[in-house]
Amino acid sequence: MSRTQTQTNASCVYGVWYSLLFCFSNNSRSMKVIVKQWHAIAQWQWDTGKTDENGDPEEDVCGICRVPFEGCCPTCKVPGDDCPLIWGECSHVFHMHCLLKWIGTAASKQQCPMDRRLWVTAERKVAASHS
Amino acid sequence: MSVVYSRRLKKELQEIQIEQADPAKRAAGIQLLQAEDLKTWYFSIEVLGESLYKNEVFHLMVRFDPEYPFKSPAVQFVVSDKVKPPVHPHVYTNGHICASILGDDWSPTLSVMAICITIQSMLASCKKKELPEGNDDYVRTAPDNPKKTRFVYHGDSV
Repeated sequence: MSRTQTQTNASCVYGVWYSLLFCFSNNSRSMKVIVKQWHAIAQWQWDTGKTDENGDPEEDVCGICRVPFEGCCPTCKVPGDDCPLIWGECSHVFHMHCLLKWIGTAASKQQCPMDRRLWVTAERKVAASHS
Repeated sequence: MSVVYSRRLKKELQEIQIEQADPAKRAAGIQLLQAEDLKTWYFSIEVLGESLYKNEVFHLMVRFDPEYPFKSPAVQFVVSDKVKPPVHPHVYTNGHICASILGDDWSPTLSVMAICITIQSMLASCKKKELPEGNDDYVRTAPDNPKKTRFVYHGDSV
């Protein structure tokens, strides 16, 4: 898993995240659920290995769909493990679904959209400091 | 438009509109003229400063493929009573442009603004105003959509 977490209790976070989504997506019909209060205990972020000037993980967008890595690709509804990122040997990162859609076109010539080198998916090495 | 990825184009449009309102952010010499839908946009392009195209303004038409950004948009200069295409070795008199980023070298990480800037610099670096070789033959037989043409790219030196 290549994500950083500010706290280790990931399953709780998912619990909060998914139930909130559930409430919002159903509120137009019979489900009348109003979130009065919620208590966030942790947040997660993809570890793209890139940091901003303060050394914090950089908030970046997928170069193909322009949606932040923390969001999901346009074909998915929920961010997280179901819509992962993909790294190339060339060090470029994309939403996996966006990159595969590009590589699946003849026009791509199997090249990285950023540097036009032949795309080779990299084994993700997670920085030791985040483990 | 593949519905899901149309959001990216909307975002590009919003960013362009924000940039246009701010002289500090605006790409000098490039202006969005019309974008009533996510199918066809028009820009005006001029080269500021010293160039062969001083005081000339051109209009660019950008038509989006439903598969954008996985497929490049069709980009051409507008030819009408009011605006003419630039006389340039990569621009045919019907407005079609021979530029590799509009064809073989397209990448989904490029954007409409990136195209406009590339075309602007293509004009800025032009050393001799002349028509492409075989212009008349091409214009006589060219399809309406330049994306249907198989261009042969000659590099920046031509």
